Amino acid sequence: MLKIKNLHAGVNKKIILKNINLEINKGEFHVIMGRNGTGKSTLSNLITGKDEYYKEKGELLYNNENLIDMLPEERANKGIFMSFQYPVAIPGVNSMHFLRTAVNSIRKSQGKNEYDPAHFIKVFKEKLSIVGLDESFAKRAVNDGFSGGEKKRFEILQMLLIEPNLIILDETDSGLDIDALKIVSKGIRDFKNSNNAFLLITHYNRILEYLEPDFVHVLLNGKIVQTGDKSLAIKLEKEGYSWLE
Amino acid sequence: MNNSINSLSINALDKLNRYTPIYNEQWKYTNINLFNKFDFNTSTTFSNLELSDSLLNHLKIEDAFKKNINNCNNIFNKVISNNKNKFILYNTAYFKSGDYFYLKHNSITDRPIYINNIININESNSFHNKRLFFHFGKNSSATIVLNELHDCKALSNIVHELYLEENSNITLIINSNKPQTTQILNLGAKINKNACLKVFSIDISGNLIKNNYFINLEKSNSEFHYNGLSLLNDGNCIDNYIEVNHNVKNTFSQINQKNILKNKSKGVFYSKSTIKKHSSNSEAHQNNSNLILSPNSIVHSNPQLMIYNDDVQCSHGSTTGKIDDDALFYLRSRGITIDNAKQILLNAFLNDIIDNIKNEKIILDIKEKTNYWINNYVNKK
Repeated sequence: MLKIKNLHAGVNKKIILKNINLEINKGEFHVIMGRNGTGKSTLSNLITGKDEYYKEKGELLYNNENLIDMLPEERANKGIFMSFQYPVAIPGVNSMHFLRTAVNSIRKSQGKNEYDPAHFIKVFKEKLSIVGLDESFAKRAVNDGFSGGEKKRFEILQMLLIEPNLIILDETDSGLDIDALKIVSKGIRDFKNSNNAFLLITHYNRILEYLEPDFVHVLLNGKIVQTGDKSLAIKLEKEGYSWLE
Repeated sequence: MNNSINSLSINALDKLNRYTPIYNEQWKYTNINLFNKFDFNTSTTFSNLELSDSLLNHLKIEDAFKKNINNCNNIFNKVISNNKNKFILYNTAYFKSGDYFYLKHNSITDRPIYINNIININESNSFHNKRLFFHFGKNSSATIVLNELHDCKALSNIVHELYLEENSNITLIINSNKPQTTQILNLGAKINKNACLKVFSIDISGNLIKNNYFINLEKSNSEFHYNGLSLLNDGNCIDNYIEVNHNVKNTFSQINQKNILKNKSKGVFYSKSTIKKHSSNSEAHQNNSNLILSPNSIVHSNPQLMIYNDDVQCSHGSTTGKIDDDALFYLRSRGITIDNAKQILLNAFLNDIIDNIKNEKIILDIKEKTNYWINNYVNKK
């Protein structure tokens, strides 16, 4: 699904990622861990197409198509989704209107029927209960006045409604209390299937108590220096990163 | 012309002849000389109004004067001081015919009252005056939509006077869409005990628009709310000057102006709320937000508070910026095209002004026009 070969990339003329190689296939769950400033968010922003992030050299392929040439909305239409580390508040934009516009834009581009308002409300309510948010969120402005936990749950709600194929979770576990972490983890776990794939960026092992990663990668100084399974995350939690240097 | 109005006119002409221009903050950011190319000797008065509801009584000002209806002879031309600028004097000197509206005591309606103001003049250098005088009786309540339907290259010199008696509750929506027009509007209001005036000023483009508001909170528990929205096209200049005087204690004012500017346009916001020495327990709030869509757009923003009493709550703020890149990326990352995302964000910027109008039909009418302007921007870029 996602193939990254010898990727060198950066932001605002500064190279951050140095020779990244990573392959994510359908049905897989990958985790990237690493210190602050090692390039984890650079990688996610590059995959989703944020303006100031650029590729110096190497390949970034999604279903064998070059991602770098695509607009952010084209990437979303092809099934790439990112749960933001810091979801931006957009005062004045009604959440329900935003969600229906987003979901229908993507469904339309994929040749699926757009939801009519009544059908969308039904689906919306169903997904809302999964992430433990109440119906008042339909009337609120996007992320405006949401607590940290509500923002993260709202991101997962979007994932459930959009039904993407490649899901990047950028520190989705940060700022969540234990109950919210369980709810969010369950939403992710239930959505995971053999046709989609996940890339979770995290600093902590605790979300992995509720999820089953296939691979754990360690990113240090813009390079993947170690790949292992869940036990690697446990070791990092105990010993930190210095042993990898 | 009625003798009394005639004497007002003569008096105004006399003052004009002796008028000496002085530095005036009303004109700090818009050069008054831009208006001087118009031929004031060709002054005309066009009055062609359509009124949707007879609940609002309508007479010619001269007829109201003859009968001194509701003591109008002692109120007309006193709500707004003639000395504020020379265009008020021009209007008083030359207006010839104006319109008087009266809402009787205890008249209450939920149904909006529409006044369509129609002017059709083709001479580009000509100068015409328009005068409206509103008197709202005790305990009256109404929403009035003033649709400015004219769009001509002449200079429109408009003076509106609003007099609100005790316990009246009035919403005035000035809905203006005139890309070619040069206009000076001077609007004055006197607000009495427990009365509340809400003004919504919607300017969707305008060649050169100068709106001056002179509001006097005359008695305790009087309120003034101003919500302004200006959308500026290439070459437009829209200048809103709002002066509020808290003349007594327990008075409230709130001013909120939003502007979106594209290409080479200029927007001005200048508000001055004065809380006088004996006006304790009063509140005055001012806010101005500007969204600039081009590096060639210019904004002057100056929210001023003049506070002469310690027992007050006041705030003022101003922001100017471009479309938020992070918000734009967030929407695009959800499959929404860049054009659609911009439309969503521009509409969101305007919504908190428009949604304050508590009438669904009026909101839809205004949003139809703002949407058209926004679509035009997004599609043309």
